[in-house]
Amino acid sequence: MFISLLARVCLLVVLLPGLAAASLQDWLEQRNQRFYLRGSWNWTISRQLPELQREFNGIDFGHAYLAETLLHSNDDAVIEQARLEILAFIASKPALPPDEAFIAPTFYRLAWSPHQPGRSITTIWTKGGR
Amino acid sequence: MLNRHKTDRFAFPLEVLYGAYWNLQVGVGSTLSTQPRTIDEPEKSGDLRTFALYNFNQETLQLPALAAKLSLDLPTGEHSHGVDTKLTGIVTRSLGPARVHLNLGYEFVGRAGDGGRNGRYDVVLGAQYPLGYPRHFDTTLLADVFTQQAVRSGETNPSGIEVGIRRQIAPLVVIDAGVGTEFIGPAERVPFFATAGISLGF
Repeated sequence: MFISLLARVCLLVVLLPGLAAASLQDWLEQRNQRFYLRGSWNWTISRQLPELQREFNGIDFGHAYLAETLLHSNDDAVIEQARLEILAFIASKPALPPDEAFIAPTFYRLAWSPHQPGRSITTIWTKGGR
Repeated sequence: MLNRHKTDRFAFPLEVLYGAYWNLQVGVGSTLSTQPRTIDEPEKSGDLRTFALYNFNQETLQLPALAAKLSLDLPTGEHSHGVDTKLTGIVTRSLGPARVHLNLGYEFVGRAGDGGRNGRYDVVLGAQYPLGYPRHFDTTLLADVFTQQAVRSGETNPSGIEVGIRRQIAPLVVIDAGVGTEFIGPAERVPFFATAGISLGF
């Protein structure tokens, strides 16, 4: 049992020295996800400004999909195809917010999603203005 | 809570979840079932089930997402004895727009019946894919293969496959449905089972 564990640790050090030398904190990235806070402002945009909500959904998709495309390719044709798909998605006026982890799996693993804080602030503004 | 006695069973599970803290979800639930006296598994009809799910890390380029779930099954149901404890490790990795999940669980049975195991493992390897990608993201195809150690020693592990669909129909409403079969296992394994569910956010 101990020999087996030791062999695995040695293998890890040889194959992935950077990972083996990293501290536990370097290995793990939590991003502190949690449920939305309770509040009367929740869902204000979708209730009071559904057209704006659909625009946001399309734009969020556009940012994520373009970021993912640019991470993987510099080919003009590929980027143009992505641009057309984004315009088509925005024109479809999506009622539901797309899951950015699905749209941009590589980008999502590199960086925090910038959209949720923006959505939350806009929602509170909308509630406050009514 | 499948019925391996050659008769049909209907089960109605209900679960309430709450994000209590950063990366932590807690929940409570129960399952009511027809023919409650012939359930083989440690969890019986009417048992109160509580659990906590903690996410250790977001998926990165180097590491998959890692989470652990601790469940306590309290013997409040019919013919139920002892507190069952289950620990499950959950690993999630993205492959393009698809996600692959590996769940490894071990259940410590509080009071096993005659010939029953005091503990048993289960393994589930699943995947999900957004149908209509990249134009649509409201429908997800789900599939998994599973195996779980037999309730009694000496029996073959029931193992099978499940396929399902999950669809978001409103910002806070998700419906899902699935079918499955146990293609390996004891003679009384379940050849067909189906489930349908609805999740509501508040």
